[in-house]
Amino acid sequence: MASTRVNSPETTENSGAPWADPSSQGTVDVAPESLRPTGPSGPSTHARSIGPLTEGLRLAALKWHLLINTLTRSTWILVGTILGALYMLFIVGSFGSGLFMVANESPEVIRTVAVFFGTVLLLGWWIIPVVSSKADSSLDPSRLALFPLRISGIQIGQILGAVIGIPGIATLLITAAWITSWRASGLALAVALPCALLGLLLAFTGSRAVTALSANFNKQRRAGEIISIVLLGLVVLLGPLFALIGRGIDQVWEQLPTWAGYLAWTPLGAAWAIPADVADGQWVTALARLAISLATLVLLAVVWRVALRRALSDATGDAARSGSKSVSGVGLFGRLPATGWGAVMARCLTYWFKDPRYSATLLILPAMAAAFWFISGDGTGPIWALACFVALLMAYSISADVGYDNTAFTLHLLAPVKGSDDRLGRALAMFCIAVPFLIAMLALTMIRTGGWAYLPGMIGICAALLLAGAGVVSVMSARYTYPVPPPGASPMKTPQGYTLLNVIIQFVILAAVALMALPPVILVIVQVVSGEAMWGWLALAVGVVEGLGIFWLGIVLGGKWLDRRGPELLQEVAQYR
Amino acid sequence: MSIHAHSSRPAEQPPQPLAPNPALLIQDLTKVYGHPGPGARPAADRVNLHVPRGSFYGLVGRNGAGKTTTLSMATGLLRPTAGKVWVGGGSQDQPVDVWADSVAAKRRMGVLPDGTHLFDRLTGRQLVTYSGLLRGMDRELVKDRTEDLIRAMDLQDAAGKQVQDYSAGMTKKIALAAAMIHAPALLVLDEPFESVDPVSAANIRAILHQYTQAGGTVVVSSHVMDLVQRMCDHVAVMDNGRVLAQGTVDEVRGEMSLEDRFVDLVGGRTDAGEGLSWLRPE
Repeated sequence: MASTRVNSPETTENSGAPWADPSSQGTVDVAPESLRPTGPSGPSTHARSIGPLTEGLRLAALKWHLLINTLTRSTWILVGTILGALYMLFIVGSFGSGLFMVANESPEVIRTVAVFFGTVLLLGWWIIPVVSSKADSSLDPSRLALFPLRISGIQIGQILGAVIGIPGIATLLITAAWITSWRASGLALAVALPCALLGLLLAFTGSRAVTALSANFNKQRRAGEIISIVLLGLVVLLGPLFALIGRGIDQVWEQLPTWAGYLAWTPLGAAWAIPADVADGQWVTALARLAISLATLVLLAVVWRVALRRALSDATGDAARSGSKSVSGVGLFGRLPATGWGAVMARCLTYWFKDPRYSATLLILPAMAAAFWFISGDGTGPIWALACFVALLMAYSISADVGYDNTAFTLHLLAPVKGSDDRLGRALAMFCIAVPFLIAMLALTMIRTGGWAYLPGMIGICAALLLAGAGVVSVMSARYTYPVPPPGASPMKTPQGYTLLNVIIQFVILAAVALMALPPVILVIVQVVSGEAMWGWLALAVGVVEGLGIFWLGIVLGGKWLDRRGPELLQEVAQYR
Repeated sequence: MSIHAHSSRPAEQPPQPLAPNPALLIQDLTKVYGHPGPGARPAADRVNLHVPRGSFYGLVGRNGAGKTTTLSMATGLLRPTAGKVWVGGGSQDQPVDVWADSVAAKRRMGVLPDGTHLFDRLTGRQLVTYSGLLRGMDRELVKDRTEDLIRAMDLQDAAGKQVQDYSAGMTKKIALAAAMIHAPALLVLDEPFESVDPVSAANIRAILHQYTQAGGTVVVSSHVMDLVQRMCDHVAVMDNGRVLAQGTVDEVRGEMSLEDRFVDLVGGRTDAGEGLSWLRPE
């Protein structure tokens, strides 16, 4: 598409086009000959050809407009973003001042801190977008495919765009603090600035390369689902790392400089160690590390380029149209009761297996079990929390349900499904998934700890969390929702307009569910202190009774609330994109 | 969900509809998004519609004229800022207020919304079944009707596939089937023929005509005037959230074609291509 600017007489007639070259404006011929094609039709374009840098700048400007438009769409999004920005400032402030103070420490400490800081920063930029479902979905290449853009233009735009937004600004600020930590040596300080730039380039390039790669994988629907889930699982399976930390902080502390030494020879840490080498006069080492960093940068840029090219040339490929195989019957709909709640339950259960937004959970749970197993190290402490955690998360999970339905929820409104049927069906489907997992987790706990005496109490706690939690969530999610990826999107996609306020809503729901465990937890503590098994059985009874009571109440109240404000709920979830 | 006998209470009937037993009566229906105030432009502005029982009613207008907003409010999906909607049922039923007794009203309606997601991880057969079961229908009845609808929509081959793998036209057809399974007295269809192929569209038209002859009422929104003129017996023209004209198709169009009459009413045709003299290959 790189055509040079054509400034032949023919082009002067297109002055009506706003993007026409101003220099070629002048003669406004409305003559008939302007209405018939004169030259050969082809790639010669009226649009001014612009360099990749300009393209990049325009894309960054686009990102800026998108950000502003998202912010001004609703007051609450704006408020949430401002709160988020304040929180970010607080975090950056505390870490930044820490980095600033480090300058007074010994060179070895400075080097260790610098390398660890850089490693964590890079890992954060590379991994968080993929696993946290907070990948930057603006400037998505498949949306740019129709425009005659160079790949390098898109790359520049995405790198510049990375700075626009809260994470980008936070990274800039804290990297500035990192530079100041080298002020003990003037030479190191001078080198730190280009090193910081190199590090930032690595962060942004890597982040986009990883995102582009995963987007490509996401094209093949099944493959995408599997890879997203495996990545999630991998992160949780970093269990052995947790186990190491569990050994005791003292040992770890002594080891840190050695590890920093190793990290400084990896692509993650190399760029951040260079100022220290320069300060020591180790020029060869510094050059070697520079070579490692540059090679990594080139590799990432090439991978990114390839992934982008594929994304651009296959932009419409939501492909895999023939994906699902044909099923003859109606599946669960034929087996569960032919009632409103039975139908909702059958539909939700089908989704638990068919929709990656749900089924990701099914794979995270075993990964979580593995992580807890490792964290427990030689002791038995944390594994006790495993089953409780699973119960908590599963109860919480139905808070996203109507959001996941998105406008498909219309069908429930039109039928109309009674609110309590809707709530009950969703909760029962979740129980069908949660109970087998809970049994497995409790069995795991018992095998690991041998603490059979506490089994009744544990069951009581789990019952309270799962049942009462489902009740609480059934009420709250009838009123408060938060943006989730729309149907058909990868579970990794960031929904638009997700702010700190949504985090607060999610946190409040989680806390309310956790609170439900209090009565049986107190009884189990009494059992631990007194050593009498009776208290455990009491915890079981209390947990089950409390759970069932609050569950019933939640279904009834949540149902009433849903009946009353169903249309408003539909309007709310319809905005999640 | 059990079937409650939600008979409407004639004692509470508000200002009686003028004509006897309308299928759908809309009075002063207004929707203002955001904060109602002097600056706010209503998406629907005091809309009044009278849809006679057994009619094939077309609602036409440009994009953004307020068709979807009006139909959403009429079907209980979007709470109106002001105004009322009544839905008639069978020939013996009193009209019920959609927003006062929504359960009874919604039982009488089958709705095809435009541009909403479906539960598209279900197969076509599952989706139609789900729609029936949600309405508390008997399992065997749902099963029989589902198969009938799938055959009528010519979706036998695709019925076992997930709806997300359907083309746009097939998706419309399966959604239409899901809207018809409970044999409603009134069908409200928002853009039912968009991206449906001509053969299927003819099929659907035949099904709908049969339905109106059996006493059912159909309301379709569309911006294809030709289609509305051929298919509908009544029509309402909307623009800028208001109803500009309504009545039988012949009353509304007079001597002109519906399309010319529409352009005449809406008043928006520019001389096409005027400012685009540069739009040509070089």
